[in-house]
Amino acid sequence: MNIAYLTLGLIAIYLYVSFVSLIWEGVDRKLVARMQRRIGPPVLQPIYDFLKLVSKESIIPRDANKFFEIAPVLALASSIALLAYTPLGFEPLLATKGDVIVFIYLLALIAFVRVMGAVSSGSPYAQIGAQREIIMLASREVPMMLGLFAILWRLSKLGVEKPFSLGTFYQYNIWEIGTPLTVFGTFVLFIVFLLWLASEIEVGYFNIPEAETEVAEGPMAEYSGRHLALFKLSSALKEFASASLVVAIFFPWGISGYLGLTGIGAVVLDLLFHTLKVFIVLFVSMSVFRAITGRLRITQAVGMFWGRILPMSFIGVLLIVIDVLGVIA
Amino acid sequence: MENRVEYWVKIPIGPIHPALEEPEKFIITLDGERIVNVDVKLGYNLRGVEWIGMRRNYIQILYLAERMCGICSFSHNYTYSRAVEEMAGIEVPERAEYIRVIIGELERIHSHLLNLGVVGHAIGYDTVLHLSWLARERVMDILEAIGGNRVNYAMNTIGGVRRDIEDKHKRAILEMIKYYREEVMPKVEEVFLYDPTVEARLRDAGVIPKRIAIEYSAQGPTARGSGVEKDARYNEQLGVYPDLGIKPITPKEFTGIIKGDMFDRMVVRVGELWQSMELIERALDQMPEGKIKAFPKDNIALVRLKKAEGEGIGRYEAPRGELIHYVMANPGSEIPERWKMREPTFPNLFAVARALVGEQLADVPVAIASIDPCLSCTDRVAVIDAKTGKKKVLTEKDLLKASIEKTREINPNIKAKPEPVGGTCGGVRL
Amino acid sequence: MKIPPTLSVVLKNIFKKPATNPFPKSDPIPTPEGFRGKLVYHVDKCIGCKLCITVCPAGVFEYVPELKKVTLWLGRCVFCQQCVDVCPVNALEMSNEFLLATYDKYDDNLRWLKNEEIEEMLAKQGGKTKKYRVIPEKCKGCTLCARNCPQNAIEGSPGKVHKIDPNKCVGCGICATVCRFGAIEEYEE
Repeated sequence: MNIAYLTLGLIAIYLYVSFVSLIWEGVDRKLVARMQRRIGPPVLQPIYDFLKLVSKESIIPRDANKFFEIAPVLALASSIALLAYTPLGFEPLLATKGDVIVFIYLLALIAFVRVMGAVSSGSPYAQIGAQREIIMLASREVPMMLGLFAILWRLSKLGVEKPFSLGTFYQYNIWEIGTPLTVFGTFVLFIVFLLWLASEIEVGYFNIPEAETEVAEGPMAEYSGRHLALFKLSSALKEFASASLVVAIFFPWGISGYLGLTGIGAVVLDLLFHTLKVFIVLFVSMSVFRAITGRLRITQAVGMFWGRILPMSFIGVLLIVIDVLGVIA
Repeated sequence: MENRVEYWVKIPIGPIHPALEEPEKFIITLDGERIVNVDVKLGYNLRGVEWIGMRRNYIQILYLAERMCGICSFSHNYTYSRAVEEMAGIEVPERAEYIRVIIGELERIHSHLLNLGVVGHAIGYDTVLHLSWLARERVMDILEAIGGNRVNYAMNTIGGVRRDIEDKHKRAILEMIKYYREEVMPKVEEVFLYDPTVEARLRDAGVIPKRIAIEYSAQGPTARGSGVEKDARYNEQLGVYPDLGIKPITPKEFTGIIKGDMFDRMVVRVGELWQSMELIERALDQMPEGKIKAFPKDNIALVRLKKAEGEGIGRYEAPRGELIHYVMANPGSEIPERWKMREPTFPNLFAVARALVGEQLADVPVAIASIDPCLSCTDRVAVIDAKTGKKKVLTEKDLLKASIEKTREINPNIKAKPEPVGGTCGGVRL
Repeated sequence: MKIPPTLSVVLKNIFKKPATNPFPKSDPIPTPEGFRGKLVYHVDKCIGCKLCITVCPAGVFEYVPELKKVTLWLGRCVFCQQCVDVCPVNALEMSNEFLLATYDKYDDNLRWLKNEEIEEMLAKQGGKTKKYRVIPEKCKGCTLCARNCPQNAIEGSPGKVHKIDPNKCVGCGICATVCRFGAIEEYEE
């Protein structure tokens, strides 16, 4: 792929995804408000918020160090890099073998940069929020990675050109293997992935680092103006990318094949259909989840990860492994 | 062996904090997420109400007392009139007592529904907040129809009540009770007794053992949730409450075990909602006919009070605990010599501050919300001069002057003129 | 992990209408009977007994001695309805108007018996109003009256004879009380 095609593609994806993820945030707030019998803000509100934040003054606390200003830029850069590896209805832009490792690494890097930015701001509220974020980061990636690698390993047995790449989901699909063990194991892993998605976005049970009633916005407590706008945009991009991963694993079917389109038309149509599927997955995992649950304590949330979600993930993986090795005929 | 360095952080919760409804300062010493010490500092909400009260006559203080708090406004009104009636020996007709019971219980329903929502918000469960405040609208509509206003329904006067409950109000109240029994209470019970988030956050957190509740003199649902059977309507045999069959409610009747944690306090509030609805129905049945005021016109009351002497204490079980007003008469004048009130949140705050030691930081806002703080009633301020260590109590005039100067300093273009407009009041030019 | 009981409630709520009344775009909810709104004052019925001044907790009423009636400053009203209860001739009642917010403390909506109406009624009363004027021979120019006049109607520099502006004078008589030299006299016009 030549550089020009790559750069233009990345810029186009970045603009599209940032617009769409901000619109989704507006739709989500409106839906949650309707669930609570309220009217809710206008759907374009997050875009207005972003524009307003960009035009305001950024206040830098006296006790902050140099990293305070670099952190938002790094976070946004990591999110844009993440977009180059996201499956969006078609193969990711920079797909190679093993690029799923880069994807997970970038997800963790964004959270890590947030924590560093929070710690360098010098506020005690931010310190508490940063502690919570780090421990949740360490706990939530483990079940997800286990499940993801098991599914990719299973798919690579079917003979793909780039093993352990996110592009394999568009060649073969985990549901089409069809044996009862795999189907049941995949279903268990689906539940694990939905919970992982909720904790990656930090809503509902897992709204712990940015708990507004307890620590007054946690890691973001001292950010304002342009820096806060960049952090919010990078969160929105990360949200979309995580949900794209879940959709690509479990519902990767496109519709342009049925309609017989090719070329640019197929790409655009696949992208739109993928966005629709992402919205539906986010509705279940973010809006409904947010409306029916409160916030747990950090010890309870970590206990839930290591005590319930990790065993569930083990069971799913075990079922898939048994199916591959053919222990039970 | 080296000494371990401890990284303890001191965090202020308040005076302005998203978790608190009203300004109060808790300085919490933290070791990671575990709380080591809690220090309570009050005084951010002083309005000089007692100073204003010393310049108003008996009838005017009724409305001043009512506006001390928005949620328990009827309780202050009622307790003050009981104190004055006891001081002057005024007899209240029976129909007026029944009407007072009905309005008091309606206020209790609305206050407990409000608190259920606030606790829901403190644990991050916003749906409970919006749905329970929506359910509260029915009660507010009834109170508006009876009293004329949604808060501050000035129903009491010295020697009776000012408005009567007519048949159409009675029908509306009975319909409201039916609606609550069938539609709202089952949902409230489902959420507060069986929901996983509520159980995970509120169980075994913020425990106040029975001994501490008695030592620190906790009041209201805070004490009853720990097993202390204390209810001013029952212990003092207040008014017509003994005829209506009232008993203090403890969690034993709902869940069977008493642990004294936040979950138990919410269970007590849910139980009191049921009890208030029964009390209102019985009171509407048993209410006799008759007059509602001891004096047909209030200026006669003033004349009678001018001759009174002595002191009176009024008590009542406000939704948060026992409320006490004390009035001392100045014979020959329409202005009382002294008026003092003690509100229930004051001891409750210290009890809960003591109970929070050893818990996690995440429990602090929820624990404070679960005692239902109403700091509008609580404050007094003392200013300590850092250099000389002398104490000085600021009065309303000082605070007003200081705030006018500060406003002019911040914004010299402000056009409002802080000069008084209107008449005199009790002889003092305002 | 249990399913929270609010799930069914929340999903049904998506299809119901929101419970909020979007107020400036739609009408406010109608008020019930007996609502305590803005005070309505019937001037002709007032007999000047001053009972309302005794019981009002906020200082809304001000007595106008020449007319023997009260004037109202509704910016201070707390809507307690105590004045309606004590008035012996039912000159006061409460309407159900509550949209009273304004930026100006002296707004017309917040006054009953405004200054112009007081003047009219005084003029009709005897055809004459009481005012005060300076007797030039006795005035020593000490500026005491000018400093105490609540309407700032007296002009003059120290040492010179002072002059009272008859358009601003309302006849309160404070200047006559403070003048040490008896240089201010009353007259009717």
